[in-house]
Amino acid sequence: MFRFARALALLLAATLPAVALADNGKPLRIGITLHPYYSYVSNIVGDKAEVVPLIPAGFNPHAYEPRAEDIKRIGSLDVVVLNGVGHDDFADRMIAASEKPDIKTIESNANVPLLAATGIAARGAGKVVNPHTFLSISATIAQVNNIARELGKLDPDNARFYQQNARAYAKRLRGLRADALAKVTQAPDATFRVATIHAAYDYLVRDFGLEVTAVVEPAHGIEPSPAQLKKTIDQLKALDVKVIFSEMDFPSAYVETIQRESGVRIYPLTHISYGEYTKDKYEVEMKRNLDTVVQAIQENRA
Amino acid sequence: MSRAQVIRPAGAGHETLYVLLAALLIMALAAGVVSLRGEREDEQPIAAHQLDARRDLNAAEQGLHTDLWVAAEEIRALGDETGTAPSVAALAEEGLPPFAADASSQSRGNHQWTQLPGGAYLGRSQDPQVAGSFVLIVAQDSAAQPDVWLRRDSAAVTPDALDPNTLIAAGWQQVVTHYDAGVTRQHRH
Repeated sequence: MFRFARALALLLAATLPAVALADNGKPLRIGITLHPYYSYVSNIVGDKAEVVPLIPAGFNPHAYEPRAEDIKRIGSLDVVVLNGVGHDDFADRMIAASEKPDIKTIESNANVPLLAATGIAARGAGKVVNPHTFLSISATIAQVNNIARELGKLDPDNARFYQQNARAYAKRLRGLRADALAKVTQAPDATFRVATIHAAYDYLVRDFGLEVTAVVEPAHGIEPSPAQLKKTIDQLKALDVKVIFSEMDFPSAYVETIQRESGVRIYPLTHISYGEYTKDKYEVEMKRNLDTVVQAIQENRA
Repeated sequence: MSRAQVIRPAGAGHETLYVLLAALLIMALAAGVVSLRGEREDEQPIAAHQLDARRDLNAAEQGLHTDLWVAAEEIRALGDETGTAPSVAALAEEGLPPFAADASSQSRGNHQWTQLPGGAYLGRSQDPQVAGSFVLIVAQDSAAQPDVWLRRDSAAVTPDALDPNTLIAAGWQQVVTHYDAGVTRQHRH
């Protein structure tokens, strides 16, 4: 009897880890909400996990309304990586309506120093934050580190691999920023004032030691009315704004009006939330953004 | 000869009373529901010796704070590899902001960085009008958040010790950041 019990215990001990392995052996399926997060997670996990966009390519995340097939896809995921500070609020509703309402989520920005939203979005005395942390190299590296750490907890076998990839990716991203800054031989002084059409680029220009003086859009993704437009143009003139950064992916006719009336030069930046999801998208588009900011500084130095 | 006849309204003023009572009842009900079901907004108070990274820092200081925050993780990883805390020169060579000298460090106060004993770094601002001086204390535990201190006067001398009491007494303020993801979200997970 004793021998039988021991044999049974041995058998159990031998089979249990096998079951656990079978469960863990399947690569993670990781949901993401925005294009930059596709690049981040793809670079962290390499070929050890699958990255699945929650919303298909071609939709504007500012105006996205969840569709049934997109909600259904959440049922096949293990974890969802969120921006979590205001750019993917649709994901909460989708997850709540899905087959896995309690799916694990990773808050990418949990450890990232955030900036307060500007313009009308700044209601509530700085409580609403600017969600575009992905448009800064520094805030991106902080997010990549967070995501790698949290994924490592879910998939301990690959935790080290994820951390190493995150560090290598961070190093490449730092290189992009250093290359751009190396071209700015002389730092712009306090008279170099910058405005943006979309309240997205505070984090990006902060990487250059600059600050956004004015934002044209009255609210996130909303075009200004003619009256608001006039007020903005007067404001741009009064503040002696040197450069306006506009939106490459969502062009608007009123931007030309601003250029014509205010005489301020306009440089288009990308919000990195349009087109196909690819692993190198973030690096390619961010390099273009950094080059554009450098060009704006060089061409408009007082 | 006429006689005045007072005709009282059918309700004799009771309607006003009933409407008032109904209004009070609705108010009481609403107040009850709000007090029972309402959620408190978590205002995270900060201590007198602390600064809120989002509200109390200027743009240059916010940029430096974020860079230090990110650098702390890399410093810890480099320290694990070599066994000692990396020198300021090594960090600059890695191109790690804010230790690397570039256009952004120039426009943010041109801080001069030195290494302090105990895994800390002191950045003395050359232009206190633009940004204050910083101390970064890198914790050995990878789960711990980096500890960043700021001092805005021009006499930012090397602190005698890195414990909070000594730093506070010397006029340093701790920069804190908090995460409130739920502000624009309908519910949290």
